[in-house]
Amino acid sequence: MNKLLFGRYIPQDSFVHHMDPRAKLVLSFLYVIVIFFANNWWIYLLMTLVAILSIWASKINFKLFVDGILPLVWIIAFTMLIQVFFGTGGHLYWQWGIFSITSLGILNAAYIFVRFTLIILISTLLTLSTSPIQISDAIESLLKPLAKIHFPVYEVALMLSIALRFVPTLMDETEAIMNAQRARGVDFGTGNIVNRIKKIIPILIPLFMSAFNRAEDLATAMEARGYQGGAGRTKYRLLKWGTRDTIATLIYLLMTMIVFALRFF
Amino acid sequence: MNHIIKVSHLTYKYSQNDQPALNDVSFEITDGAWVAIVGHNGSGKSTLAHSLDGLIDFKQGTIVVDGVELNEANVWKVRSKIGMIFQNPDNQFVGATVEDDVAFGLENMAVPHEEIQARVDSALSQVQMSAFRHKQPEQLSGGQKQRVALAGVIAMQPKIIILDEATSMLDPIGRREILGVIKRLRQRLGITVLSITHEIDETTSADEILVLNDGKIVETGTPEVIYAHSELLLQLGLDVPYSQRLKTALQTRNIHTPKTYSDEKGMVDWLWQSLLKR
Repeated sequence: MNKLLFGRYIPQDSFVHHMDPRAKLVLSFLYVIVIFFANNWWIYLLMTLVAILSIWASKINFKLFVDGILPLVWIIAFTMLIQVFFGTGGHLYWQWGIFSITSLGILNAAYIFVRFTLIILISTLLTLSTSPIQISDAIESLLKPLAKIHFPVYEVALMLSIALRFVPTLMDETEAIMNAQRARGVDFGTGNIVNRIKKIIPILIPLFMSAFNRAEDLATAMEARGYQGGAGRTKYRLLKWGTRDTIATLIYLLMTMIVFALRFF
Repeated sequence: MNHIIKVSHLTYKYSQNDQPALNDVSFEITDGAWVAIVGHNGSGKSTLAHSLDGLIDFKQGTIVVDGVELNEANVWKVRSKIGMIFQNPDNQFVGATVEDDVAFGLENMAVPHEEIQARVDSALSQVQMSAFRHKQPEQLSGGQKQRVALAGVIAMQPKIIILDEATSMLDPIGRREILGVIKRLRQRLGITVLSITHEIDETTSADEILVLNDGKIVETGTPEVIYAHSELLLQLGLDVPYSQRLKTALQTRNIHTPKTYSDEKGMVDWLWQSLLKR
């Protein structure tokens, strides 16, 4: 799980890596929204080109992106099959009860395949080129306007970064607890589902205990280092909007305009 | 002589216990001194350390740190004078990376961005962790994490450093590194060091040792004086340094040994000399 969610950041010296994480986050969202307006091959072609351009600018090995798609292959295949067998409209090729294969159904399945793949590519690009701390900085910065309505933006960002920081620590701890129980003869690999779940409980209880102890220690340590809440703190990490970010934003805005033009006119 | 910490009649009781954890404790610490507070588990030494930093809300007694009396209004002022390093290397690492963690205290003090950068750089180089500045905590050893914690303290430029069993979860090498950095720091900046420990080896470089038992100070003195009472230390469940044990063993065999405490190297030198004199 660790590898899948967090440990994926690949440090590189590239255009995308040096971009402001806020720009990357917002543009990734924009891309995902825009792709839902796609309804013909020209739009998909354009968006694929933009995705390939972005990936090329990140200098990250394309194989890593394929690794990002592979775990989701079954979901994509399942969604495509539903489209193929239940899609209606267009020329009817084959029918059996409620199942039917039509030309529009096949077309929609192909669209969905491309759409899924592009969304995965772009979000993988975000997580491969941006470290978790940068993402949490970006979220903090983007949520800043909410501070006006007394939303605790700093605190939420700090919680996010501490949560991310303790994921590996708690993973190690889980492993240590499981090993301690294996050493006393617990077998986690066998038994039916009910038995396996029962064996999880003796792992969770010590894990919770230790997480609470850690939280208490951490709170004490933070207080000793002068933490008095988010207000009035300065920032060590500053986010800087650069020329790169403007260029990338312009490219994505141009793409958005062309997509809407192709779609609506 | 200037007293940087003055504790008088400090008493504290945890609500779940009958016995007070600290019972009428009074002592003074001279500016620039290295003082070790020793005691076995449950002797109240950690409670004492936490009270000095205002992390425990004590009801009886007074604590004055660098001329400021510790109370609710002054607690942040007192904390800015004290840098604390705790026992567990993992549970005091707040930042996502080494540099973020060192900067955490400075961000809290609202130090301007440029100055944070300079202070983080200098603190990391003082603990020889500059090469690790972008590393995440899980990529570091326990000793390295404690050095980062020490850098976080150095960056805040406190007058007093409290080590709350800071080396007890480290291997001997990690322990030696931390103590080495602190010794150098003290020589350069004259920082007052208060080390709370049950490792008697950590007390050999102290100017003064306070022995705590059941919430009371039972003995105060220089290492030589304290080690000479080895029966008392053993009785309290504490260890006696190896060279001192050797000395005591020699004395029981009617061999005259130097009166002052000497470390292992000192004892070796003395043994050679006395062999040559024969």
